[in-house]
Amino acid sequence: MKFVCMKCESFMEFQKVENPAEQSLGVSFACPTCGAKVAMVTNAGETAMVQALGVKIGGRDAAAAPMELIRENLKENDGVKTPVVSATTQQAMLKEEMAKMTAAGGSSAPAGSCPFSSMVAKMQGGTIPASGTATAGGVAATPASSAMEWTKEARERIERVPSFMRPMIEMGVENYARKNGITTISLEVMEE
Amino acid sequence: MAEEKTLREILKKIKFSDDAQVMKQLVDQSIQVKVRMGYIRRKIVVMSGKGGVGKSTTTANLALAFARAGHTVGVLDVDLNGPCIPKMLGVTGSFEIRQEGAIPPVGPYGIKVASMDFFLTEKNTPVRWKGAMELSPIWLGMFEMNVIREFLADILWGELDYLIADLPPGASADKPPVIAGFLPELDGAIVVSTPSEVAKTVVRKSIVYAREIGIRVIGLVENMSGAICPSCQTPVPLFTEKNEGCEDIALDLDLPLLGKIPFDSQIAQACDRGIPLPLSHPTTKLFDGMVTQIESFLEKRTVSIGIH
Repeated sequence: MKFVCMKCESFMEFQKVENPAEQSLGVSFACPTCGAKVAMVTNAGETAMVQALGVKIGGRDAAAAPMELIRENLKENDGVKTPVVSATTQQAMLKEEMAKMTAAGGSSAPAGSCPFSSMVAKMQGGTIPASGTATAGGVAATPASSAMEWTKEARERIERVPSFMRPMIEMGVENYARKNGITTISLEVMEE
Repeated sequence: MAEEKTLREILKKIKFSDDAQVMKQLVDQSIQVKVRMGYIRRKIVVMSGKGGVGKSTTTANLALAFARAGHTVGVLDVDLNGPCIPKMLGVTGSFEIRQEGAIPPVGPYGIKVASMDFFLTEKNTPVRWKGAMELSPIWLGMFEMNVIREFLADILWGELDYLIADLPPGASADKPPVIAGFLPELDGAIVVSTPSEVAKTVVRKSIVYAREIGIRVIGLVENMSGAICPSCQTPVPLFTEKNEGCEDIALDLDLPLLGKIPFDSQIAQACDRGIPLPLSHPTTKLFDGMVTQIESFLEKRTVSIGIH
């Protein structure tokens, strides 16, 4: 599916995907000529259709991780376990993400967004509140591997990310924060 | 004021680029299945129109029989919501995720097993998906199709002689065509029925349906084919007075009756415990005999279509 800028007579370009509300995907496009922006918002059924297809909106930068569809969509509760991810795989995945981030340098990512934000948003499925409305509260315990502070809300959100991906996301968010002189990770920082 | 151009006119002038690459992603998914399945010599499904007839028991015991015959075997538990193959084969553990794929747990005789059960720790935990999949059967069906695709594409099966897929029940349910769609080179289906008229009525439909969607039916397995009296070892009919079996289906639909498995508490107990039946048990020998027939069927077909 494509959007056309009728004024400039050109296809709009994909910008980013996010979760603006529960069971909803927001996909943003911009006209490369005049810069006009439009966002498409899906309802629950349309969101489910995209998830059911097992495809990534905006295309993939890298091949899908093994069993990605099942691991991302299985409802987590007490009786569900996370498969073992080998140490070498974790390192390789982390290395790949870090390389992408370094290459992006914060500029080639979708306009105005951290390269990790859409990934974090996507991974959290339909549980994210309306973007940008959350406020930072008390400061939670700092991750063992980090010298950076995380707010309680930010910590709760990162805890919802599947454990095998969590270290990678944490590191990505913290690196982004360091580059921007941020010392406390809040929901706002994560959503940037 | 300039006249606004129609969309048709604009589209003629501009070049389409597929940013989303949805088709490419779907094609890539199919290619990955194709590549992974290329290492597997034979792919078989075990199916039935009727539930509770012993598909999983048949699958587990056929897998053991193929492995006893010296083959490398994998079992795919396609019953996503009622997975029981791991318990029947005594396999526990979980997938080990590596970059190149997911390593499946291994059971008796080196049988590799893939099942949703490996994502669950509690015996009471149902398989539940996030979002609308939980509420809408429409999306659930499509999503489960992709879960099966992921099992086929992402499991590091390695080189196998046989991959046996245990399908959930359903005469014309979505799983057989899904499997057939992903595996155009599927070697065939083993259909399981009991001698019950109720079961046979439904099983007939599933055989016809399977054939209509291009799945070759290798043969029929009659399960619970009478009981063996534990005291005097005399066969006792379970479903019909004269103990008629499934021969009528085999005759009417022109397919071999591969074997008649008696209802035997030892089989049930072996499955409950996840321990294979002893080699000397008559049912073990029955399944070994079925494997010989299936191999013969598949070899004949290979020769007849000129694949060497």
